[in-house]
Amino acid sequence: MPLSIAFPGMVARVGFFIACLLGAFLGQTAAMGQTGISMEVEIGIDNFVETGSPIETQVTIAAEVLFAGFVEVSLNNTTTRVAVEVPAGGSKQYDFVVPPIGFDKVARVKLLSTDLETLDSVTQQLNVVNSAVLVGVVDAPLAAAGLGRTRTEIDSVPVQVITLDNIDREPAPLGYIVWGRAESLPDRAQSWLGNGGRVIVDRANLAWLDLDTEPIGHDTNSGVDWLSFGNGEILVVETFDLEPDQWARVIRPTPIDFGPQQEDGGLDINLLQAASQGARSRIPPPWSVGLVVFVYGLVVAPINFFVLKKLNRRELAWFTVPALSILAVTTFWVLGRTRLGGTELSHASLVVDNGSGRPLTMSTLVISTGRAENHRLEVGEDSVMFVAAPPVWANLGQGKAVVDGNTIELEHPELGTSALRTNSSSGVLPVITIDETGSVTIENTTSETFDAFGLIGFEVQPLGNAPLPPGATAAFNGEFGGGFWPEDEAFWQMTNAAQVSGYNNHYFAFSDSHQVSVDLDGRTRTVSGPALYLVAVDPILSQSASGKAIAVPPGSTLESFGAVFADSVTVGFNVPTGVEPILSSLTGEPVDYMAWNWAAGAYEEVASGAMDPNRYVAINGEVVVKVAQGMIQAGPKPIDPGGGFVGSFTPANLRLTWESRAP
Amino acid sequence: MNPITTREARERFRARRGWPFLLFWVMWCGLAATLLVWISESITGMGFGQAFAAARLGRFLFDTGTLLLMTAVIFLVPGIAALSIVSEREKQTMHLLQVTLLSPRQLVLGKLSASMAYFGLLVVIVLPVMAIPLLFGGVPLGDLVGATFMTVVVAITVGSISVWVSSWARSARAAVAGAYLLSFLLAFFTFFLILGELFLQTNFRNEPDQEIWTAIPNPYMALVSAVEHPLEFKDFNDFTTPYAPAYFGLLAREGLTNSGRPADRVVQRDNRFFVKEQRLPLWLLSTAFYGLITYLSLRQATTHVRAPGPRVFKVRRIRNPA
Repeated sequence: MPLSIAFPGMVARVGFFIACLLGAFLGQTAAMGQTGISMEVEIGIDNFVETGSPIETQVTIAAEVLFAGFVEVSLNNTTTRVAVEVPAGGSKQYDFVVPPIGFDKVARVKLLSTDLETLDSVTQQLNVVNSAVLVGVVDAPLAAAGLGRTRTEIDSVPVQVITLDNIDREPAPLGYIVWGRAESLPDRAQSWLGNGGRVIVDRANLAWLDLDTEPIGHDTNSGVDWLSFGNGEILVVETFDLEPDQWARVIRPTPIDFGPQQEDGGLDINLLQAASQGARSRIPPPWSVGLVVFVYGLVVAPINFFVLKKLNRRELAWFTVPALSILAVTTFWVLGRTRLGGTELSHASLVVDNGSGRPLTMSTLVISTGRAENHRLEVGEDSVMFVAAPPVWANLGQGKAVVDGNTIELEHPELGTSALRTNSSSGVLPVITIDETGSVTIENTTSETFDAFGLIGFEVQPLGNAPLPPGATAAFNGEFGGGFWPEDEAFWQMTNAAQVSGYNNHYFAFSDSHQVSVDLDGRTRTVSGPALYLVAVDPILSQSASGKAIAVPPGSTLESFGAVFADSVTVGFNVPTGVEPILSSLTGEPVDYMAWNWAAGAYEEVASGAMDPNRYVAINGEVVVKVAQGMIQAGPKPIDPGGGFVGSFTPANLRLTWESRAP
Repeated sequence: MNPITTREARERFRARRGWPFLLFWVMWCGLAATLLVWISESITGMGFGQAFAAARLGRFLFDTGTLLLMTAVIFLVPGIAALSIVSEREKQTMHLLQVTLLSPRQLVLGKLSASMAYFGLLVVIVLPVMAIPLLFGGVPLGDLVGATFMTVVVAITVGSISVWVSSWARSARAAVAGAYLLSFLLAFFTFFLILGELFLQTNFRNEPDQEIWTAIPNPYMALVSAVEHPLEFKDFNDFTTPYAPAYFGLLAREGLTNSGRPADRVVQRDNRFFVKEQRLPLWLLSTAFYGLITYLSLRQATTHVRAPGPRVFKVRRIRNPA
């Protein structure tokens, strides 16, 4: 029977097919198992990152067999790829930076083989600190236990505890470090502390810190001794075994991270604009386009038809017109390829005194190429380079970036404009001295001419007439005005960048000829562009301090553009000790103020004007003011006092001034 | 080649006004392009600097140029094609064509191809103007192919509609007016229909959850869909491209807005984020719709140009009363 003959054959074929499928599946599984590769990823501090800063990423790969491939981190529309190689039976740790977070806060990490096959992948949600005080605890389990149940006495902000094995990455997202290890602080933590961080130690371990500290005093409310180191402070507790209500008095709210602006993708727009302004024009002038079309029109219509008329073959226009047209298109194409063939580099840099002894030069580097090309860039060993996420408005065709140490290979799949950020511990700052009478002297110790110099405070004020050539000195006697600003758009973009980045109350000097050296495709290129040198002003001299939002009630809305809509906002200040602060709002709007009475541990209603330093200024000079209003807008940058937002309020516009130190 | 097309191709440039119109057309497009470069430079720069302006200028020029070309189709093709058959009637040469060996279909297709050939020449002659974005870079070849394809499809459809109008119109004026009216309804009135349908679906508050049927006939939506295929999440916040409104419409078709990227609707390829589309691409639906309209128009035109058949006399048989 036909059925009895066909059936065994069909079974055999189906069986063979299933066996093939099983074999393929099992074979693949076995192959994956044989590789024995695993990946551990740590991004930022326990996935907490700081807005605007490159994110330190640590990937540890363990492999049973020799493994070579790539680690790829996709974040904020930018992919960073690092070549990795792990010996058989070993593990290897790779540290690199990825761009600052943008609107997209999900990091996708992949382990790829050499042929870019995904072997393992991890997705991590990154966070900024805006609703808690983040405390990193090292070797202090008692402190971790107590802090985990704590809310700050001021505004009842929750404390979030992260237990750390060590501090080998930038601890910027942390508000406090509790250090219980009988060792000196790691370099990263020391640097962070010197720049305004806060470290808590018990008295037994204080000596291990081995830091050149200055005593501030004993805080009666919290019962701890306060020391200063640079701009930071060290709180010395008798023991880590404190009750939550005791910790609540030790821990104070820290500035809120408003998160990245949606538009900038983690890159400072102002610096990017300033860098882009420096690029040589790549756009042909409109009149040249018109001229080319005019000449083409003359050739294709009157001249072409005149010739055809002479030949008495006007119908040939059906062929001559397309031929001339194609010839013109080809010419355009060739011209375009030739004209766009070059690669241009431009930059804008902020050179900042960050208290580490060596200036920090933060450069935004713009690379423009006219066609799909790959480039290899290399910077000095003292630099950290990362691909900046392209801002959404730039609409760039930036492709993948392969990072290898101080080298980046950039792919431009379509058209070529990329933005890079480099942070380098190099450069020279001008020397600024202030004598006892308040007279300021600026000495240009750089090799560039300063086109402007002055003070960035609530507004940009000139200190004298530019230019100031290299080696020259200018003196300022305290009277603002008299200087002229350069007619350079980059100047205002750079000062804006400084203000947005929080460099208020800084002396500045502007140069439009700052040189940055970059190795592009094996050839060293020196790129000239604008730079702003920033040196912090001693607040005693400026006699003013602006506020930063440190707490908002739960349920408040933090907007990505730097605004908070809330019923109230708490603003923190730091003033020199011994002064009598005067509270005022630049917008002049009537608001209800409450100031924190440090001795009583409670808020008290205050009015604009002089504040009692004995009540409202902590022993370290901290002042906390709570502003209540129906609608509050809080942002990182002071708004124009003359303009401003009607019916809103900006903490940076709340300021404390003082006349002189109290006797 | 169709003999009608051949004849009209030979006659097209015998008239004295042949080349001055071409010159005017090139110069007009050139002037528009020059102004466009000037405007684009201002818009795309906007303080972001030369590097970024240069990077976006080519794209802006391309987007604007393709939309202008589509507008040129809407404005030029009816004027050319609407006269094709009715002019034969006015010159009283229609019956001569009807008695040739040409079938009605050949006659209609010949008229259409003759009109389209001249329009094609008008497009070809301004290709160098359209190629100006090549000077700036940033336009992939696929986008150029998509834009050209959709423009040609719309041109054939508008030409077919115009030939159909021309086939039954009694005067050239009526044919031109009728052809323009239908073209404008297709190109511009559909925008109001889209808005109306969106309002009915969403009250302008929610994202639509159904197909926006009235978007299918709109040539501008079809053009942007063809160029922006596959649909990608782009940030058109600054509206520096004229494609933005149509792009928002395409997102709305997919039940998405420009502000959100739901994780289950994102397909990441290389460094780009594409929309996981739940509907057929609009340009595909539009092409099918235009194909149908073209077929129906030409079929109707064929019946109108058919020579009258032999008159059939009915013979009434009278039964023998006996």
